[in-house]
Amino acid sequence: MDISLEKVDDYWRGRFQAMASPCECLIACEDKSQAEALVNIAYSEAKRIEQKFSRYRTDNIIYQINNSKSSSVSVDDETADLLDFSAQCYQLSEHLFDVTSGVLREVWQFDGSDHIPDKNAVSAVLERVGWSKLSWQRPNLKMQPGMEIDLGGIGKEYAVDQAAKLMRQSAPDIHVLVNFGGDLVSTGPRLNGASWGVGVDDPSRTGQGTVGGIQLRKAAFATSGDARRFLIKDGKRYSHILNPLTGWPVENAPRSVSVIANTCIEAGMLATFALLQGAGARKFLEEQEVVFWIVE
Amino acid sequence: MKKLKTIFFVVVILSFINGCSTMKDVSNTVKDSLFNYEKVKPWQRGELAKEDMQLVDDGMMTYADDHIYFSKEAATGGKGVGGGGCGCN
Amino acid sequence: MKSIQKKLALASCTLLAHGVPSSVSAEEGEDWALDASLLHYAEDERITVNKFIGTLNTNVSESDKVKVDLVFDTMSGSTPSGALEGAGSIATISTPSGAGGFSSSTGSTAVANFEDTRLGVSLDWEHTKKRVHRINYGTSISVEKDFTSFGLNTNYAQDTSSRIVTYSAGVAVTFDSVRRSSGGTPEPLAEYGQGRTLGEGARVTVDTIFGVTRVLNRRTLGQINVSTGFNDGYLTDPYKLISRTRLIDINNPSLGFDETATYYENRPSSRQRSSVYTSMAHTTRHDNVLHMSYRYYWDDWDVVSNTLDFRLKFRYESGFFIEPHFRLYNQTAANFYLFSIDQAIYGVSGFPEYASADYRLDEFDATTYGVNFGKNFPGKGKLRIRLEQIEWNYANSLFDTNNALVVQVSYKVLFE
Repeated sequence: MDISLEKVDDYWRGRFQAMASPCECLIACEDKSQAEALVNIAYSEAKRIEQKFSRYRTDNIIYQINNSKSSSVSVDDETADLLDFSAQCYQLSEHLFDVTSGVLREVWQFDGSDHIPDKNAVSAVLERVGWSKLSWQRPNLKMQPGMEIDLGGIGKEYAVDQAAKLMRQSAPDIHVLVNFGGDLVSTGPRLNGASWGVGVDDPSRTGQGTVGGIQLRKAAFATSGDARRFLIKDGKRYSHILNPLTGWPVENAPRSVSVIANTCIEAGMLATFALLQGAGARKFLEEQEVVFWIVE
Repeated sequence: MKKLKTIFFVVVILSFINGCSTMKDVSNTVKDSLFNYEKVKPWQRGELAKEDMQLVDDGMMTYADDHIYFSKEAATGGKGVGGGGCGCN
Repeated sequence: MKSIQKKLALASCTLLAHGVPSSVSAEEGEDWALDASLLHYAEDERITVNKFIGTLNTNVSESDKVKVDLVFDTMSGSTPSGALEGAGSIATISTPSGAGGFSSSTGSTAVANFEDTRLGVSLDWEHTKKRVHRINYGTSISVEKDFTSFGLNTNYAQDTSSRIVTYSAGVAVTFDSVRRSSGGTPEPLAEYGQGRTLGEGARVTVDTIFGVTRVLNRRTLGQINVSTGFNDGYLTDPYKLISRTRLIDINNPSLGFDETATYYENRPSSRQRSSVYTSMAHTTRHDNVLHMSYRYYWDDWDVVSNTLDFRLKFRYESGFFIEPHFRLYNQTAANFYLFSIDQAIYGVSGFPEYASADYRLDEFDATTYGVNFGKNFPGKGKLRIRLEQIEWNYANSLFDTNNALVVQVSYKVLFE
């Protein structure tokens, strides 16, 4: 198994790669075998969710859904829960969050180049975007031809919450911090009573430095931003956050938004919703009365 | 670490047994040193001439001490001035 | 009786002891003395220092002596940074997807790791006029990765006609440049890992000393020095940190505190220091040599300290000697020393003007127990071995005790 485990201060740190992201679990315990067992639980859960919801695979429910050619697909409970959640997010965000917007990647490749797609091409793809265009009656999902469901926007946060839940069930007295690709949750403080120091990635030096840190005891923390995925043309920066109503990148969004919430999925959604507001991100978060962090 | 303290006290005791050992010696020493003033003539400087009687009789040890305590304590100097600084404080 | 002259000259030299050994050969006929020493200093699970010191003394002429010192030391290990254990350090990093990379988990900021080597050279020239006046000119340079120092010093000493008393005065000026080994100095009181990196820290130190050495009786030499000096410039330690803390539960202080942030420290840019130092060398009735000294120190950072040092040397016919050594030290805390920046006093974002959690500015006492021993080879040289243990007890710092073992082996060779 490709899990590395090492002791740092008074906790164990397990690292692995999953869902195309670096993942790490911090276990507040002394015993190595306990830490190992918990990290394995997280690893297994991350891998399971990756396998089940990745759009790169051909053997899972997502593939089935995206290749259903407009016929109805009956989904399991877990998938149904996620689709219900997606529906709620669609409503709450006033249609700005839409799990059917993944097909826009056919015309938008955010590789730092200046290849801006043609307006007509975008409009054409936009025909196949829109949650309201599909039919979701639990447990049956029926989509229009060419539509796709992409749970990439919620998969990681969901996996974080799930992994933490399973670890807690296995060892209720051991607090952990689960971080999958930068979205994280902690279930309690460290052994020495201290909180977990969480740094916020500095978008201008992404992966190299932090812009600050917060102390997390028992909360979730998620960051959304355009770190490495953007386009630049004629001096204008195009964020990879696409507005599913227009098919074009959200304008004047902050470089990065971080939010604290009770669960990772909540934190992640709030951060994403904020970014989708573009220039209105700060106002949006203030209205939500959550603790947040914006890097312009 | 505790062992050194014990060694220290053992050495002290042995030395005292060997050399002087009584409270009388202590009071003699106090008297002889601080309360006995004389105008010493040049030919009486035999003892004072010995290397052991220099105020800094072993420069190496003094140097090492100065650096150790300089880097661990807020107070410095007293014995002299100058000398190579070090970044340890 | 030429050697007596040299002896008193040596006694004066101690007033001028530029922190470097002045082991001028006191034996007749020997014009050269080479002293080499290896020192090993090891703290319990912390810093280890290994030093090599070499000193060469030579009589260039009847009235001139030159001394050259070379010091090479390596330091490694860890030392308390002033920040508190655990929190405040970054355990993980929240990034947007695609940002890639793992967090650069720094682990605890409470202890900082060190590795450095230092090279120091100093030169001293002593010129004697009419056997009564002595002038010393000295210079020293010290270089290490994060510190450079250049100093000049001069000292003047004069004996009274009876040679009973020697008056001396000296002054030394040192220029230091301080920086982190990663470059520059941190913005004072900026958050750890953030803030600007400022340029090198420069500072100047001026020290003056006035002393009187007196022969009290044929077996006792006494000395009193009054020193004063100041430091000006960058006096902060660029590596040291201080944490902000708040009680986990105001109603339940026993739960302890939480570290909410970590900052770089900040010290005033000037310091005025003074001390009074007395010392004595006395040969006892049993022919043992007693060395005692006491120093009272105070400065405008409100540090006040007492140092008492005591050595008793037992000498034997064979040239063998054994010398127990005992040192007692205590100091008060500097007025800007803080264990942490308490949120109850400073709030979430307030600061005192100066703040340092450096344990060396804390209130503490230190006790040294040691034994020196060795063998004197008259006319040829001298072997000395030293074993010491130092114990510290801190009033406030995070780590409330520290221990160090010192082992030093020195050998002096006289020739020509």
